[in-house]
Amino acid sequence: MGLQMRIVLRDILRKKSLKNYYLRGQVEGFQFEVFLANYRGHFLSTMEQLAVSIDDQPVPKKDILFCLNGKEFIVDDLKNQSNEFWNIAVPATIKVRKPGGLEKGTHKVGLTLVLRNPYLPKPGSSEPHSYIPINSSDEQFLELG
Amino acid sequence: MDKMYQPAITLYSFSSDYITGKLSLEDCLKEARDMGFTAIELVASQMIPEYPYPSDEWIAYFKALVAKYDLEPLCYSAYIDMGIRSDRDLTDEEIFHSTLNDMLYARRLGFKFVRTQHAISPKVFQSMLPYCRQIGVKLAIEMHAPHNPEVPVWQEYLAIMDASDGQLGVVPDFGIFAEKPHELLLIQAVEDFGCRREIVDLVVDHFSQGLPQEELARHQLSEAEQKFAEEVYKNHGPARLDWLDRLVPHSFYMHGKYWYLKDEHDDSGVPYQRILHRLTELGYSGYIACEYEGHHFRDDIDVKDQLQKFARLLTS
Repeated sequence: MGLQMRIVLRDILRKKSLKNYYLRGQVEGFQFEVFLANYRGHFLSTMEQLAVSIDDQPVPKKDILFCLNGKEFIVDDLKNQSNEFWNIAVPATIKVRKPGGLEKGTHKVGLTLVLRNPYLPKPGSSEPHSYIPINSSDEQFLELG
Repeated sequence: MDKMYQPAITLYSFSSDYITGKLSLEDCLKEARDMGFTAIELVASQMIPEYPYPSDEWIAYFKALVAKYDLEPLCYSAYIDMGIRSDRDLTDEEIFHSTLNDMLYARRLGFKFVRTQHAISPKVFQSMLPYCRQIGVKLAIEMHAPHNPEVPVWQEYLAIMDASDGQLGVVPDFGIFAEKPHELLLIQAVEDFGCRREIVDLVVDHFSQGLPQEELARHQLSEAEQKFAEEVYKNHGPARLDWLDRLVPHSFYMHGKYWYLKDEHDDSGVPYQRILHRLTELGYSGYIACEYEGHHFRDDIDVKDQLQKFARLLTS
């Protein structure tokens, strides 16, 4: 692990946010809320890694949706969202498509979330477009009520 | 000699309580006013929900709040987010446009200054000059450690400021005068990076006595302790207060950066008493903005107490 920024001023994975979500009356999957571990907001295009695991099982990328500002993005489209701002005071919702959802009870939620800090180039780097990462990853046991 | 500088605060000082939701924007403004600060800096990407395009509703909300608490909106602080795009760094044209956008919103919100970063480039900085006049907002670059007036690009910036008729300026961050590591850095080295406290103290003691870093080798430092020693030696040194002579004429305000104060007489690594004395000698009559940054190191510090100590340091 090289130089990175990690400013955790509150929980990244929001407690009590884990729940199943519905599509026309059927449980389509589960969702939870995530705060950015930083002191300021950032544009979604700075997100370089987003991955989720549930109860130690990695979730296929195609089943993850990142939801913010009333919009839903597939993981591969986040890199294009250079006008979509993630306010530090607002949680994003991550939806995981999993028909039937999760059972009630405690689940281990793993989040890998790494952004590049777009104003902090890596010191000493002569490469263009090389920035210090912001690590906003977390792992928590969350209760689905 | 009478002190002429005035106490401002950057709302960034409230970062931890704002982000945990303990304090709203209004609470931050009220606390700032209660502590005796009369002007504020806003980090736009921290507290404006729809940054970089604050809504009409938010603008009205903000203006009503600063009127209610009788605070002067001093500076709208921006970043040069060079790396927003995934495929490449921003072009000069894109940096120009984002800076212009920040200046326009700063004006609408009633701010006098926009603070930007040194990555703006001398060329783009110079090109903003006519827009400062047209919009009625001055543009300043923050001088943050490890930069100082002797760094080549800063000599270019200062020459541009010299010829800008007071429209383009600088916001010196007092971190550039850090003489020794602050207390929270020492605690972090021990608690987070596994350094031995006696070695941390030894390194600081060694450094303060002006002994060469190489002499520490005989104490068999661990990898983390070696890294700590390197940072202490690299990032600190005797404060060059003569830099203020060059900076004061172009300073719209200054960042009173600190991480921890034991009391209002403590300098905690940045020699505040000597800095303030020199500013008084130079007749500096602008603002000094309290910029508490302890939240980068610890979340168990009484922030209000830290801000009050700084307010007393400025006003006593």
